[in-house]
Amino acid sequence: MHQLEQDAAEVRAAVVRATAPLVDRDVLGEVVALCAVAREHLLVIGPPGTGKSEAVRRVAGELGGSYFEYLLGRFTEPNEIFGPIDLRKLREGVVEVQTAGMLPEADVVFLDEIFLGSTAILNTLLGILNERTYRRGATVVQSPLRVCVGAANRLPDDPALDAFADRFLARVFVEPISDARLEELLEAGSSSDPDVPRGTTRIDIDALDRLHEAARTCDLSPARQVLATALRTLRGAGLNLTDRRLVRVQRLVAAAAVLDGRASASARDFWVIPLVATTPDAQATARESLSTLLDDAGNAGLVNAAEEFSRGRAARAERLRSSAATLLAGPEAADHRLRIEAVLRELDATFEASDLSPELATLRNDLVQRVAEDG
Amino acid sequence: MTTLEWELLEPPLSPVAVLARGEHMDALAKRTRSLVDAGAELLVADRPGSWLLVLGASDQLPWAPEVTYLAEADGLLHPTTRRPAVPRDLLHASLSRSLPEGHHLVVVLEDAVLATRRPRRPPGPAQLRDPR
Repeated sequence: MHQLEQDAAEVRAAVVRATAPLVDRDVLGEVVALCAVAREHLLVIGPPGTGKSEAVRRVAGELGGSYFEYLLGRFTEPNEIFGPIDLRKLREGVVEVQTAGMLPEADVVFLDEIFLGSTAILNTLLGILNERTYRRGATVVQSPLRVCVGAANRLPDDPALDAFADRFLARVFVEPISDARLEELLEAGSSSDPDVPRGTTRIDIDALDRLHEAARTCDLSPARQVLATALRTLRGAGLNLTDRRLVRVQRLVAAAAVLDGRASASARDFWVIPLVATTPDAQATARESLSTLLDDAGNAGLVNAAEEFSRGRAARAERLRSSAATLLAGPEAADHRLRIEAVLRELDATFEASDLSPELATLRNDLVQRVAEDG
Repeated sequence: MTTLEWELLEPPLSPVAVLARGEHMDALAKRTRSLVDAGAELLVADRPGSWLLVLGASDQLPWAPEVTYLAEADGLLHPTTRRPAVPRDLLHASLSRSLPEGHHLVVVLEDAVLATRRPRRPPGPAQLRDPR
């Protein structure tokens, strides 16, 4: 297998391992991986207790590299995040920070309640997020940061924080688990270890770096004209996106292409566009105004995120194909039949038989056969 | 007789019911029975020997071969992937005039219109044990 495809497959497998024990957090996990490949930052907005930090922690654990996580508060001191001042050096009149094990040296960062950080913390963070350089006194650290995930219960009201929030290109809005999946949540909650272990089968972070390099050199030219049209459509729909977001969405497009196993981008990767809209309403508007374009969008690896942000037919087919293949290949759990029937129900409720691709039709037949064998 | 035009729905609507007709009723009845026995909250309406309709939350609806999943809009049930391309409230009002009193549950298919009273109670044993 080509190195790029192998790396993409490893990242996909890592995200699946990370999110499998969680309920309905696969989209978040996939977007973390997408952002890590794009080297863009992610803002996760949702009520407390909705599994934001656990999902990010698990994905970070599987992606390898060093991880730094902190819950910010109004009284959090910069040294709690960036490291303490070296007192011996200070006696010599030199300000130097001991950054080992702290944010400036982390590959993946998760900052909960990020908007509660003091001005000093947020200003320093800006430098790291933008330039990936930490500077204080004599200390200059080139940060290896792949992705910073900031979380908050809601978007800030203070306009002074808008510029800071704009540095987080992608946004995921997390909702509590729906009534329909409460049983799953209770089962997962009773069987999972509250102290989430770091992944034991984590991938080599070099794979992530190779994918980033491939994304950086990804050929965007086949997609650029259509992308410009799409962005004009968003503006026409009243979405107020900064120029920075419009330009940087290309990084997400490139990362999506690479994680789909391609070295050049196409409109298939445009499911990432709604991710850069800044509110849930704006994301819905983006999806609706681009619905025709997004109908053919999809991603073989990030099947859940591609469907969530495109709501398109191709992405839905891809997710169902993935679910069907997994069920047919995997071990039979206690609720195996119910899971198969759930996929069949969704297939039959969302596709007319004549619209199924040959591959999906074959998988459907195999699932029907399994149900028939089960009596 | 007027032929209805139909429009495809993308994205499809979420199902609220599933319908089996003719020879496919047995399989749906069997699966519905086992889900109800396991605690699923499903309602059933039927015309013995003709069709069986199961209503419930989208993720609790049974699956069986050759069934049709139905969504509900403006008082009409129609396939999740397509709907009549006419104002549904007008269609419902028009159909209601020719239906028996109290038959408020109307299913519009491309080849048939089915109507029944909306079930209020879980299915009784007879409704699922002998659907013919």
